[in-house]
Amino acid sequence: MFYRQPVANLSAAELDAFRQTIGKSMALSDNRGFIHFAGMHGWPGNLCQHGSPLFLPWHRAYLYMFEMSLRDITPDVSLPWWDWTSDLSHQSGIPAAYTDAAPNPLLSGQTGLVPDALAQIQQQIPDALDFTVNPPQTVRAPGPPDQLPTADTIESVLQEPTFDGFTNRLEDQHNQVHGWCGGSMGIVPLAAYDPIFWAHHCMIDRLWYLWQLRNPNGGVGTVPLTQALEGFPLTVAQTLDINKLGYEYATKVNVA
Amino acid sequence: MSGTATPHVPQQGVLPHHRRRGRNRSHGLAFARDHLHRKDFNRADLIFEDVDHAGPSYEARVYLNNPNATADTAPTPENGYAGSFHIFGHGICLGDVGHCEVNDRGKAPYDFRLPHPLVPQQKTVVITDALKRILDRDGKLEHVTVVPIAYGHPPTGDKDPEGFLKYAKIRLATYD
Repeated sequence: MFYRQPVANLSAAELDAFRQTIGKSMALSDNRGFIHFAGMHGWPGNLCQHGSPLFLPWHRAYLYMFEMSLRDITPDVSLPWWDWTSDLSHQSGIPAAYTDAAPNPLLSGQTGLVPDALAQIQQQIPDALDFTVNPPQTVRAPGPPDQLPTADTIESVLQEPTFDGFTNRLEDQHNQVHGWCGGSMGIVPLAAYDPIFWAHHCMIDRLWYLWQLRNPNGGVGTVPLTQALEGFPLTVAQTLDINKLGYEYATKVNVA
Repeated sequence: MSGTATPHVPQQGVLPHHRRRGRNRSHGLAFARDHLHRKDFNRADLIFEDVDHAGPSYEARVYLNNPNATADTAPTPENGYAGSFHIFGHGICLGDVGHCEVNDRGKAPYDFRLPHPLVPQQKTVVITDALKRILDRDGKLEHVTVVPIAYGHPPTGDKDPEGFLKYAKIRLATYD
C-alpha cells in the first residue's frame, strides 16, 4: 500500500525524492513521461471529463496511471495533495514546495506542444505561458490566498447525500481553484502541464474518498459501472476502491 | 443544507489584478411569498442550463432582488448575494476548423464515443438561505442577476470580451 500525504507534511527527503522523480519524468519525451500524461488531459489529448458524472472516476484513473509511471522511476514515490482549505494555504497560497526558486521541477513545466499551437497561444492568450524562455513554460497568476475554498464550504459539499449532488458541487470548487491559480492552470488545454495540477487533483480525489467513507453505498449516480474510462485500461467500477488501486490517504506517514 | 460559503468581501470598486468584468444577465421572476412559503421548502437550487465553457474560466455571482449588482458589489447577504458557480474554461480552440463545434457524437445507440468535450454544462447554485432571507425581507423574488467575473485577460482579437457568460435558461427548484 502506498500513502499519499499532504505536500506540507512531506519530509525534506520525501520532497527531494518527489522533485527528482518529477524532474526525471519531465525529461522523458515518450509515453512514459510527464508531458505525455499532461497532454492527455487537455491539449492535444482532449480526454478529460468535466461537467459529467465521469469527472471523479476519470481523474482518479488519470492520477493513478501517472503515479504508476512515476513509480517506474522511483518505486516508493506517491503523489502528494495540496490542502487548499488549510490555514497555511489561506495565508500563503500555493505550497512552497511548488514555488521555491529554480531549479525546482515543481515550479513550472514545459508543454511539448507543436510550434503552431504555441504560436496560437502566444498570439491570443500570451499570459497562459511564459514565452520569455525557450521552450515556453507554464505560469501562474494566483489570487489572494483567502479566496481559496474554505473548510466550511468543503464540509457542506461532503454533506451532500447523493453522488450527483456531491460531484457537481465538488467540481465547482475544483473549477474555482483552477481559476484562482490562473495562468496555465486557468484553462483546460494547458492546466495539467503545471505540476501543481496534480497536487490539486489529489486533493479532489481525496475529498471523493472522504465522501465515499461517509457514504459507503453512495455509488456513482447514473454512470454505468462498466463504462470504460477513455485513455486508460480501467472501468468506472475499478476506480471505486482506492485500496484496490494500491493507495491510501494519510496525514503523515513515519517510517521506522 | 445550505452550502453557504464564507464569501471574500472585496473592496468596493476594486477587482483583484487577474480578474475582469463580464456582461451581466438579469432575469425577472414572479415567485411571490404565496407561491414560495418559507415552510414549503427545505432546499432551493438555482439551476443554469446549457452553460458554455469554451471561453475563459470565470466565476458567476448570483444576486437576488438586486438588478443593479455589478462586479464591484460586495457578495454579502445585504446585497442579495446567494452564491456563485465557477467555470473551468477551454480558453481558445487550438484545433483545426470545426474542432470545437459541438456535434452529436455519442448520441446514437451504436456510437460508443463519449460526448464532445464542449457540450454545454449544467451548473447549480444552492440558494436556500439566501432565498429565505429575500422572501422574509421583500415578500417575493423578483430578480435574479448573474454577474460574471473572469480570470485572466481576454484573447487578443476577441470581438466580445465581456460576453463570455452564456447559458440557455435558469430554473428554480425547491425541495420539501
